[in-house]
Amino acid sequence: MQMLVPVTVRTKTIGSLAPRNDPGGPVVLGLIDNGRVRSADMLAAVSEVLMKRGIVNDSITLLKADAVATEEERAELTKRADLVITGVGSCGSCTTRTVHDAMQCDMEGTPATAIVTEMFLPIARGVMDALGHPDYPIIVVPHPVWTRSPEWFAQTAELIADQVLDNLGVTSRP
Amino acid sequence: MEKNCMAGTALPGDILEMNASDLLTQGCKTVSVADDAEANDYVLSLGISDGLPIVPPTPEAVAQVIKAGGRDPRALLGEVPQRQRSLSVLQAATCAVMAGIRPEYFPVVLATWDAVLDPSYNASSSLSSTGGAGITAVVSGPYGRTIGMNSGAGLLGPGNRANATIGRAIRLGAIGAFGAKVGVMDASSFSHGGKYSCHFLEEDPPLPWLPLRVREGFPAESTTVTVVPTDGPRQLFHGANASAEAVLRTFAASMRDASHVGAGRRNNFLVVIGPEHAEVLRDAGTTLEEVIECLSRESRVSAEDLERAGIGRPDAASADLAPDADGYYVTAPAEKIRVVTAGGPGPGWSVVLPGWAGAGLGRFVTKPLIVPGADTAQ
Repeated sequence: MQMLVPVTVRTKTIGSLAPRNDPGGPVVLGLIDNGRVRSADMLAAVSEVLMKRGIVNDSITLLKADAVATEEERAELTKRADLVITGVGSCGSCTTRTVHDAMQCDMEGTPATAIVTEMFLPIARGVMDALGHPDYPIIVVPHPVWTRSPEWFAQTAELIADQVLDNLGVTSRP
Repeated sequence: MEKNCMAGTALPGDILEMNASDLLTQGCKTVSVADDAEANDYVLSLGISDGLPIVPPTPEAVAQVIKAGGRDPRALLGEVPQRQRSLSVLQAATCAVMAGIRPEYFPVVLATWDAVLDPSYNASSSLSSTGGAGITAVVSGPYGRTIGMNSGAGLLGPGNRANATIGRAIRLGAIGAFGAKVGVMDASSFSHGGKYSCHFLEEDPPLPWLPLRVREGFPAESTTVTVVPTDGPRQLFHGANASAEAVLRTFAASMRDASHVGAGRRNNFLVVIGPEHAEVLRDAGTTLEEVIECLSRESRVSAEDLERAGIGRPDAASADLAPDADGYYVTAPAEKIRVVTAGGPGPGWSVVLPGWAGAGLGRFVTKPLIVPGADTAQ
């Protein structure tokens, strides 16, 4: 017996990721906050660590609590930001948005990375696969984040800072 | 693939004339299996099953269903851009056969996809959420009756083939074409039974109330499908007295349950009024607009309500929680409430289906049904 089986069909050609060139000096960091509880704390902690290290001199935040960032919103952010970090993917829908937004910024020319919690790595991989870059470099932090203390965010930011910089192509470490 | 939703036109893409390569281009691969058991094992092994046995979608069965829908099998029904994935009529029909539909149900399947793939529905987020939203659909109009959908007793449960299989066709499409597999792109923490299927027919309401399709701007003789991502149904009981105000208060009490993620977050609500409650409200001269306005007002929560429930006072981190002019947090703005009548007789049952996850995350969408050969939307 013959039968048909549905398969997924890609609607777009796969875009290239932004080249990783060391900025060579302090940059403006773009943060896309998915609105989940404590996402802002995690992003702020990472931004603070990078500022202390002299890699970032300013940051801009785009709050997208209910949908992916639009092309116009991404363009507005990346007009001023040299690098982008999105986060924190700590649930199903917010992980899809967080990974999507990072990858879109990247494919539009701005190096980006996404922070997701370990429990949502499978769904992050699903998005990476769907958008054509299954090995897209993201940052994985412990789950959950919403129960954590301010100290935990500061410590975690210190721990992941180098990987964030690697993912964004920043090689100079003052 | 080309977007083409015209109905009643010739079907240039007869799938029985297509080779395997053409079919793959339209989103379906062709496989050989020995029998039904092997077909089921194969679908399970691909992870594109809902766990229940499927009907093997032979090309002949799929062709029959496509014919009943009246659209070119190569036509694109829509896409989920965040996943860069699309759905063709051929894929929708294949999943519909797997789900066990009769061909005459397929126009309802197609209209449901038209609605689910409208960007307002927010398919990408609602299919992937830990909140486990189901695709809830109300069919309003005569075609639902023609194909034998249930608007009465037990309509949200087992027993009616159309109700059971139309929703299942959509879920199998979400899994097969959009990758909404549990544990991968469907991260539901719990999920609920309505994710197998939650399609039902509206019982036209007692006059002078108007059916949903008319309130959504469509002709009374048409048939529409209205979709919204929701939690599972919450059955509520009010049989103590025949006061319209008391009945509405019971509905509102269920809606403002502070433990729900949508409490105070300007959420969607689908309210299904059972026959006794509809009669009480109608006989009291209450209009549907008054019902909706009352439910919106009475389902608001205070900061104290949220605190008592352990949720805590809203803070800046909860961007969608902002008080109204009276200092209350709105659980369901009037424009996000849809009320329909349905259900079987009893001592006073109705149902509310809370929308998924609060403000902005998925909206009601209504689309008309198009039946091949008919002059207008049916």
